[in-house]
Amino acid sequence: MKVMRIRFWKVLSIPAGVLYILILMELYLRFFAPVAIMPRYVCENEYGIRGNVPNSRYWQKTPECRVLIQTNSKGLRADREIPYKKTEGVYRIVVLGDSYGMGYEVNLEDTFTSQLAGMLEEAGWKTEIVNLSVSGHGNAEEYIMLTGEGFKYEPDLVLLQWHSTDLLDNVRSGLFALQDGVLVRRNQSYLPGIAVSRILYRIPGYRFLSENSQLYSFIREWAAMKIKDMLAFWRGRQAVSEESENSRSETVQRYREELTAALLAKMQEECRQRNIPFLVLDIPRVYGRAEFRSVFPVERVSSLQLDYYSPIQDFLRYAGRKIFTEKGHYHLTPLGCRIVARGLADYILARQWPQQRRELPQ
Amino acid sequence: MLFNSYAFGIFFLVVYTLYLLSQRHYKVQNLILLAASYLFYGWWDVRFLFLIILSTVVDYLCSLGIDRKDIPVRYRIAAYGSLLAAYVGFVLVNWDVFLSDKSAAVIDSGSGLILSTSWRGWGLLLLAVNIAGFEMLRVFGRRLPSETVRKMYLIYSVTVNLAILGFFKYFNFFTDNLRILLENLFHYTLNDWTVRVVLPVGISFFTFQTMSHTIDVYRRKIPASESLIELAVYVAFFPQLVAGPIERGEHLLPQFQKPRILSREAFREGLWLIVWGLYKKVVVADNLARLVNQAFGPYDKGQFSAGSTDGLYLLLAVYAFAFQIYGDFSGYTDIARGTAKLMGFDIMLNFNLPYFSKTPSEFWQRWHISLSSWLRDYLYIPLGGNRGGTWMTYRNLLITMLLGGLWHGAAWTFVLWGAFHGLILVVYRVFSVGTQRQGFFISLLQGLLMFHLVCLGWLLFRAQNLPTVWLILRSILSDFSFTLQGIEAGKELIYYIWFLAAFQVFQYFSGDLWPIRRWPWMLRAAVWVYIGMSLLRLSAPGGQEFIYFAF
Repeated sequence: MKVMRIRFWKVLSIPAGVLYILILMELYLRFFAPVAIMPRYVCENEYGIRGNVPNSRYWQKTPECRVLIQTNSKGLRADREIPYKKTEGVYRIVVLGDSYGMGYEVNLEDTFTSQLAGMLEEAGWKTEIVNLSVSGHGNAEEYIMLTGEGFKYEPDLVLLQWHSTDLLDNVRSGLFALQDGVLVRRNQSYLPGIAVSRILYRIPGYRFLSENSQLYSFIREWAAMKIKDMLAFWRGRQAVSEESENSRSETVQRYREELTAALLAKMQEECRQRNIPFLVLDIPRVYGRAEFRSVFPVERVSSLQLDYYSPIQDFLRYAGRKIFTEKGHYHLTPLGCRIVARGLADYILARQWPQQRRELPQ
Repeated sequence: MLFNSYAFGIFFLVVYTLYLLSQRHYKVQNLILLAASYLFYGWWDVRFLFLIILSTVVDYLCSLGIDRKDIPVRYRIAAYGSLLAAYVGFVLVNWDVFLSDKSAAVIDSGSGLILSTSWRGWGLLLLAVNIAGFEMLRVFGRRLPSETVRKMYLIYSVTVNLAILGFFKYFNFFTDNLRILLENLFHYTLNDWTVRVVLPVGISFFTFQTMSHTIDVYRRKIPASESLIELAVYVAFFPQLVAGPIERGEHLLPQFQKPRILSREAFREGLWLIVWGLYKKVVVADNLARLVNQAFGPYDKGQFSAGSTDGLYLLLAVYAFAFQIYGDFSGYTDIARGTAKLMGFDIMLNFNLPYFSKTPSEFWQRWHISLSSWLRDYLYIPLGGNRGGTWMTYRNLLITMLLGGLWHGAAWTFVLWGAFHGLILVVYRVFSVGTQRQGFFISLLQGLLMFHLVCLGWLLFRAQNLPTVWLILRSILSDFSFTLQGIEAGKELIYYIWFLAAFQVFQYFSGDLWPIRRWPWMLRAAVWVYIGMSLLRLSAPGGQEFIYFAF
C-alpha cells in the first residue's frame, strides 16, 4: 500500500511539475518580457482564402494598448452591417489590406480608415468605409477579395494598403504565379493554419488561453514565424526554379517584385474597367522613431502610373514621436493613423475624386 | 562557427555522439576530437590550420628534444609528415570554394616589392625553414652539453611561436607606425612597401598555449608528450581553441592521456555552464552591444562632433561595455568549460566574479585568470618578479601589463590600457591599499572605486582612437545631468544586467559559483525557466561574434 502511494505521488509529480514550469513561463512573460496578446480569428471564406470570422469580438492586449476588435456578419471590421447596395450620396471607399489596413492595435475610431472618413466628411463628402482587410493577406488575396467581394459594394474608390510583407506573402501564398511574364492562377486556395486552428478551437479552454495567455501568444508567434520562413523559402525556390527554365538570371527578389507588380496591374486594370480610382497606400518599414524605409517596387510598377501615396515625408515631420507601436506588433498608433489619414484625404481631395464620381452619369 | 549558432549545435551533437560511441577507446576519442577541432577551426579559415599544425609540430619536437636530447626517427617522421600533409592539404589545395565570404588573401601584397610571394610560397618557406632548422639544431646539439641543448630547443620553440604571433598579429601595426614615423621624420612614403596581413582567429591563444607546454617541459614540471596526436588535440581542443582559456600542459594534457570519466554531476554542471554562458552572451552582451555601439558609433567613425556629449549617457555606455565584455568573454569561457565538461574534461576557471575585486591585483586574479597567470608565470617571474627590490617589482609589473595590453590587440589604445593597469597596480602597491581586512562599507567603497577604475580602463580598451577617450571623459566630467537619453539608457542597462548582477551577488556571498545545485528543485526550476525564457525571448537578433575572437 505504501509503495502504491509513493508511486502515485511520483506519477502525479510529473504533470504537477510540468504545470509548475508552464506557470513559471507565463509569469516570466508577464513580469519580465511581456508579449502582445493578439488573437487572430480567421476562417476560410467562400473564395478559398482567409477571411475574418464573422460576428467576432475579441481584445488585443499589448503593453501599450488594449483594443477591441469587432467584426460584422460579413467579417468586416465595423460596428454595423454594411449592405452591398450603396446609399445615394455616399462616397464609398473599399479598403484592401492586411493587419495595418484592418487597424490592429488601434480602436475602430482611431483607425486610419475611420479617420479618413471623418476628414472627408469635414470636407463635405459623406463617406463610408468598407474595410475588407484581413490580417496576413498579401496582394494575391486582396485581388481575390476585390473581384469577389469588393466590387459588389459599388465602391467610388479602391484603396489598397501595401506593406513590405506583401512581397513575400504573394510568393508564399502560391495563389498566383508568373509564367512567361503572364500572371496565372496556380492554386485555388491558401489557408495556412486554418485546419489546425479549427481543431484547436474545439478544445475546451483553448479560446480563453489564446485571448489571455502570454505564453500561448509567444509560442504561436514563434512557431508561425518559423513555419512562414520555411514556406517562403520553399515556394520561393519552387517559383524561381520554374522561372529559371526561361531565364537563369532571375533571383528570388526580382521574382517577388515582378509578381507583386503583376498583381497590382491586374487590380488597377479591374478598377479602370469600372472607372473606379485605384489608390495604393505604402506603409513603410520602421527603424526607430525617425527612420522609415519603403521597399515598394517603384521601378517595376513605374509603367502603371499608379496613384500612390507614401506617408514617409509626413512621418518625418513627426520624427521622434511614436508613429508605430514599439512593444506590440509594430502597427500604426492613433497618431500614425492620423498622419496617414490626413495624407490620404489630401491626396483624394486634391484630385477631386469625390466630385468626379458625383458628376458621373448613373 | 559561433557557439551561439545552429551550426555549432549540429556540429557538437554529431561530435558528441561519435565521442560517446567510442567511449571505451580514449585514443579513438582523441582522434575524433582532433578531427572535430580542425573542422571547427577550418570553418573560419581552413588555410590557417597550417599555422596551428606548424606550431604543434615545432612544440612537439622541441619538447621532446628538451626532454631527451635526441629524438627517435619515427617521431621526426611523424612530425615532418604531418607538417607536409598540412601544407599540401591546407595550403596547396585550393579552398576558395569554401571561402566565399572571406576570400581575402592571407598576405595581400598589393604592389608590394617585398614579401610579395603568395601564401603558398610563404607556407613552403615556413615548412622548409623549420625542417632544416630543426635538423641543424638536432645535429649540432649532439656535441653540446645537455643544458645548452635544452635551452636551444626552448629558444627555438619560443622564437617560432612568437614569430608567428608577431608577424600575423603585429605586422600591420608595425608597418603602419613605421610609415607614420618615416613620413613625419624624413618625409619618406612607405605605402608601396607595405603589405596587409590577415589576422588568424585565436592566434594569441593557441601560440601561448603551445609555448606554455614547452616551457613547462623545460622547467621539468611535465614530461614531453610522446604522442603527436595527444599534443595536437591539446593545442587545438575546439572548446577553448579560439578564445581560451589558455590551458597549461600540466593541467589539460594529462586528460588526453587517459580515459575520461563521464559523471552525471559533471554532465549537469556542463549543461548549466553552457546555458549560463549563452545567457551572458546572447542576452546580456549582445543586447548591451547595441547600446554601446550607438554611443560609441560616431566616435568610432571619427565623427567626433556627431557623438553624444551627454555625460550620464556616456557613463552608462561605459558601464554597459564593462558588462558587455564580461558577458561576452566569460560567456564564451563558460560555454567552453561546459562543452568540455560534457566530454569529461576539466578546463580551468577563467573568470571568478571580477567586478567584486577591491584591488587591481585581486582583479587580475579574477579576470582572464588563464592569461594573467600565464603572464605571471612566464613573464613576470622570469623578469625577476618581486625579488629584485621595490623598483624592480614596479618595473616588472609595468612591463608585464604593457605586454599584456599589447597581447590583446595591435593598437596604441590596448598598449595604453595595459599601461593603465600596470600603473594602478603600482599605485595600489605603493600605498598598500586593500592589504588589510576591512569592514563591509570600506570594502564596498573599495570595490566601487576598483570597478570605476576598471571602467576607465574599458574606455581605453573600447575606444578606437585616443580623441574618443578624451572627449568621452570630458563629457562625463563636465556635462553630467539627468537627461531623457541617459535615463532610457539606464533603464535598458538595468533591464539586461539585473539578473546577472543579482545572481553574482549570491555567488559571491555564498562562495559558490554554482550555487543553485543545492537549492530546492522549485527554485532551481525557476532559475532555469528564467534563463531559458530569456534566451528565447530576449536574444539579440543577428548573433554577434565574440569580442575576444579578434585577439
